[in-house]
Amino acid sequence: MNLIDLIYPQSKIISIVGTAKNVGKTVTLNEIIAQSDEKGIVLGLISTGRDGERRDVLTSTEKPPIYVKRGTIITTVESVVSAGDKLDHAGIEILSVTDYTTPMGRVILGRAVSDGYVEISGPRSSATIRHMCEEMLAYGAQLILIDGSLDRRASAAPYVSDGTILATGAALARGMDAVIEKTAHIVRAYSVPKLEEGYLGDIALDIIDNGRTALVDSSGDIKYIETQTTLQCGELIAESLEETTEYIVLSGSATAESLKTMLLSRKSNAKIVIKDATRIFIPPLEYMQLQKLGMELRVADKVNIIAITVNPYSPDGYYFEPSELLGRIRREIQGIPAFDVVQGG
Amino acid sequence: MLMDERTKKLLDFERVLAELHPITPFGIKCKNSSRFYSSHKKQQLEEELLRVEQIKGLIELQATTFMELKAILRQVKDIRRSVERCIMGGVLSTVELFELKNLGELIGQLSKAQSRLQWKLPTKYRLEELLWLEQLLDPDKTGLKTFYLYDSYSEELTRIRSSKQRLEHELDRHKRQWVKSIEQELGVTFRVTCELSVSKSSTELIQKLKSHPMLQLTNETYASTCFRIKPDEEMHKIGAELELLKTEEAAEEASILERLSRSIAAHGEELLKSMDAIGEFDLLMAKGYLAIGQRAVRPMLTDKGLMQISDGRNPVVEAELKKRGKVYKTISVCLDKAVTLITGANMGGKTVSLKMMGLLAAMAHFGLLVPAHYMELQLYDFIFLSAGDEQSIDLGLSTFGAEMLGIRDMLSRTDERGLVLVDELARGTNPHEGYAISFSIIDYLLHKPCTAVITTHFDGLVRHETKHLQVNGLRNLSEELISTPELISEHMDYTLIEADQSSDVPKDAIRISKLMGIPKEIIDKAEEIMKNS
Repeated sequence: MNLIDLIYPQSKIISIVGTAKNVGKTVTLNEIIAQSDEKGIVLGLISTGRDGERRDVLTSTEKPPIYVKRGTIITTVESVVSAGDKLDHAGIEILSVTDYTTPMGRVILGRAVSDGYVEISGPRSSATIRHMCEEMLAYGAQLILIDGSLDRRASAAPYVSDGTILATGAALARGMDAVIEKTAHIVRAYSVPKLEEGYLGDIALDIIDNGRTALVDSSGDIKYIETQTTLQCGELIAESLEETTEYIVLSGSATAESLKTMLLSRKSNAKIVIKDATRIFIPPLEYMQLQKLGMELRVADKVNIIAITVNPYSPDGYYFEPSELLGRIRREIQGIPAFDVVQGG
Repeated sequence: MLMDERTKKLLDFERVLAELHPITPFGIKCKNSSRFYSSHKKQQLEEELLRVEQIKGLIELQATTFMELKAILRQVKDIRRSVERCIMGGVLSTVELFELKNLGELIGQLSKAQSRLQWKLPTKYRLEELLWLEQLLDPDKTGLKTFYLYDSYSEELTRIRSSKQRLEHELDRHKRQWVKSIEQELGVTFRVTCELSVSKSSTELIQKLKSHPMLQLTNETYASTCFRIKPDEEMHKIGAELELLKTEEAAEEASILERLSRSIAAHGEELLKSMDAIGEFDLLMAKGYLAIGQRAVRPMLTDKGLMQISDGRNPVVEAELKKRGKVYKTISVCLDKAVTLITGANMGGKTVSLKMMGLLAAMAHFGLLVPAHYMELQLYDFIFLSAGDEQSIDLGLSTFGAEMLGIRDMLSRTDERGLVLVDELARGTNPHEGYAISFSIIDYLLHKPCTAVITTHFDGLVRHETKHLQVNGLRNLSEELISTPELISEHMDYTLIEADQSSDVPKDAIRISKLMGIPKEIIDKAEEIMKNS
């Protein structure tokens, strides 16, 4: 089975995010582009606020550029389209000039009229990205790929897409055990189930949307907790817990310490609700301990990880035995297919 | 200058302007550069007011066409700078050409919608289809809104691009032929990108691949080795040709951009005029919509020297009251003498009425319809309002000092035709001197070409040459009706009635104080003092 078979036609908008820098996100993107091309799928490409730099400023490793086939719809920026001096770049037919601006000029929707390299860009906010994705679908794209990020500031991508491809690899940590553990932990956080639908769930969702912290009891009554910082709210919440508490809704982050305080004072099986997985700040070991204390987390926005791609090489010069890394990821992270896009397999 | 900044602020004129909403960047610019019509531009103002009245009527009559016009206007973007740069000899980018093409399309749509209006629009608002632009930027007549340097722009470009495509295809075919043959030969599988990656552990295979004449090593790490097809002589030849074509294509595209820019520059003035027309039309529509929202009418411009308003409404106050679910009580007034004095009850709306007169006059001078049943006026050279100026007090001046500073400036212009509005003249000083100064100022104004309206609590300012208006106030109401302070404004009759020249200022300050709940013993004492004086 190829990566593309897990993606299309089940999903229309896919995001590709990396667990760290240089874990092979762009290799993954190019692989999906190549596989889509083979199947004749018209692609739409967008990135979450990247600046189109080919060279990663921090590590100065060469970022592989993106080569597209004629007909691909792309989101790019004004300065890229206007510069007519890049010979190996694809010709771009301008479809629309949006009002969204980036430091590189306005965001532009275009269609590649010849094969060639393109520079993908896009706006930052999730609502805007969603809007651009819909525009690209309207212009005839059959599958949208969002070059996204797990970075908290630009974490929008997974939430506007139907599914996410998680790119991980040697660059995440020096040892293979650490790479696997960290990847598994990220997957675990992203696998936190979605908040239950229904009366109480809707109430909790409203509280999250309003950015409040509160307790919801079984009859739907809300008790707001006024806190200055989320870090201190553990004790305040602990004091307010009752036998009937169904949901503990946290507006901010979930930290190990505050969650432990809450769980120890629990008088019911209250579930803890957070906005999304990026709000979880719990190291792997503490996470296990909290689970033993009966922690049940729920998120308002769920990320659906479709597949994991693995890159055994790090630009720092070390590497892992590719088949061993892939094999262990497949064994230790169950339920999500893994691929080695560099090596194949 | 019709008004100084202070008067403008006191009248809340900016808040009226804030309700005027042109849609396009051109319309907004037009609004921001609009000025009051000066008194010797009566003819032009008259025409403008007639046009606003005309468009107001049309909006009500042809609502759907205007909805369509608004929808088109919302898509207009400001590309004036691109056009100006083009006229100056600059070369437009493909993005700029795309925007120009879209503007051309919108101008075409506006032109069609405009021609459905039951009004032969004056030229400055009229948009004409730019057929030359359409032909220039849609050479294949596809009708699409997208833009690209189309092959059809030159035979040369067509030739370059089709050769390029043919050669690319050729190159790809060559490469894939080799991939196929190597795959069959060695039992390996290339990736779709025509690359081959082999694990280091397959040493024997790597040796074979390394020595293969058609493979080239691209990347070698500790764990794997990557290969790609080594170009043969034919592929090298195609590659070199392709490189040449790409350079030719870039040069040809640059020359087409240059050519298109020159054609556009030749029509540059026409484009700038179209953008101006969009702005003017947009602003005219905005004035029409504002007039509908304010139930406004066209003020009559006369040479009779008077100002008459019937059922005038202060739009700022009216909007505030409406938010609180209350109705604005209209005011009628005729200012046909040099000085009009308004006297009457506290809380009688004298200040609001005064501001209403100034605001409606200012709106008329700006080319707006006015919220009233009827209004006629002769144009003024200036409008002046003096009413409790907090800012000057901040500057360290007393209430009285600040007032006199304003009055001084006003008096220096009294040889022009002015609308002078003064709220409680000289209220901030002792009544004795205040009266004397007021009397003297009124005397001075009586012989000037101004229309002055002064509210006052002083007795004895009214005389033969002045007009005297009184607020009807609470005079016809029994005290039982008004049990709480809130009910005062409810029952207050703001009507201005013409009073006897000799009649004194009505006395109801004690009554209002009583209604406001001032202790009885104080009220009793005050009444006693009044009786004895």
